[in-house]
Amino acid sequence: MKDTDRISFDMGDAPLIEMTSNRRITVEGSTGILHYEAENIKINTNTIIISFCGRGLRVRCISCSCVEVEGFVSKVEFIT
Amino acid sequence: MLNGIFRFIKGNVCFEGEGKFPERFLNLTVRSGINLWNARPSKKGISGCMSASDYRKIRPVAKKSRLRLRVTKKRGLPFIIAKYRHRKGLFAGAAAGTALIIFLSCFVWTIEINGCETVSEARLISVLSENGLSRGSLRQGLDVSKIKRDTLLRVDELGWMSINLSGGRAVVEVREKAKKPEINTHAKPCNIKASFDGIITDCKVRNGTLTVTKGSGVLKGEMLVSGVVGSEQNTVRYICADADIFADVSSEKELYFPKSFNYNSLEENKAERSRLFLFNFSLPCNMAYQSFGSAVYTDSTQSLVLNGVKLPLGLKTETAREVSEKTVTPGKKQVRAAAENQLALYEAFEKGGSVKVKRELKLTEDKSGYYCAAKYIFNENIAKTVDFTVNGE
Repeated sequence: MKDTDRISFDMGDAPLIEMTSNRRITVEGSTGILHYEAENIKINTNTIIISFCGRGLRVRCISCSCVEVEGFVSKVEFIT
Repeated sequence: MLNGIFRFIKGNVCFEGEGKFPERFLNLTVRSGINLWNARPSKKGISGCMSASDYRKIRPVAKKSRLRLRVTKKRGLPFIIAKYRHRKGLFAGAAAGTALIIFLSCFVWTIEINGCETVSEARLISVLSENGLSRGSLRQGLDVSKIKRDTLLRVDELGWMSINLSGGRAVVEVREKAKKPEINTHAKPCNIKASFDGIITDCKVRNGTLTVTKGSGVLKGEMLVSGVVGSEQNTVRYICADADIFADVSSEKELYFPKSFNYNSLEENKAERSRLFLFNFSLPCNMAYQSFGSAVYTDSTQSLVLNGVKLPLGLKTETAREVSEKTVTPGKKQVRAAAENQLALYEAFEKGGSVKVKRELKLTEDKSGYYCAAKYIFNENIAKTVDFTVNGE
């Protein structure tokens, strides 16, 4: 019998998103910023593109693989 | 907070970039290893902050991303130094101030003593000063253990001592020795006899046989407590009698006051000389000088006190006051007042252990002066220990 209860995923390249309410978001595993506006920020990662919509958005700090976005986030979209 | 301090020390600039591709600028900046913070999108492009050293390297990145950068704010220590670089006196003053603080902190400024109960603080400070610890001593040269040992040897009343140097403050903690109780080591047999004539008011016998009663009159030398005690086996024991026998004792005190006498009186004329002192150094403030035939000199010191701590900085004033000899002819009232004063001193110092029961004062006058006769009744301990020897049978 096949064991269908156990489902495993390979999460090696996937970004890690940490959210503090809808005010601060940290994205680890980012490769760059694709779109930068006060109402919309799009962040590129290895596997997907993450889009944050809201108001007063800004990049608090940025490094080679990590971006911290601050502001009032109303929508998070994952674009493949 | 630490981050903010480091950024301030390194210096940072806030900039505004005008262009179409602020995202490219951000990505290229990060890949160049340049740290950027507070990045905000603006209408024309982007604004943010970075360190001053990184801003110098940002030009090729801005060119690649077609962004025109403009500095909006400069913050940090390098910019403050650059602004005041022509004000050399400021830096010299800051350096001199720092050097002065470092220099002054090498000395002991105050000595605080805790734990003194019967030992006088002034005496302890004087002994410490003789042993090397005083206001103005160099902290580095102090051998604290030796000072402690020498002070404990000099001041017998102290049982324990500790000296802690905290900045410019020397804190001396002391604990006094517990007093030994008085032990009667009188080994020979003795009686208690009266040292004065008097009327017995109270008897406290610790050892021996009481031979008088309360209210009885005794003469000087009369036996009060016997050291010969009989035992139950009809034998006799010879012990050292010990007792306190209180009696009302009469005494007289005579005083004489001449009709006129000379005394030295302080005049209004005075000269003050002040000196400003810091540790052992002093600087004269005024050079007032006046010569007097006879003068009395007094010294006063006023030290600066900060937060309850007395500093070794202040003003020393030496005052010379003229003194002249005057002849006084006191009246009866003044003589009586003077007699009262002298008798008060007599009662306090010569009869300190006795309780005054009654006093009669009589003032008589003759050609040469005044005679004051005071008749006292003091209640005091008239017990006197007198040894006796026992000849063997």
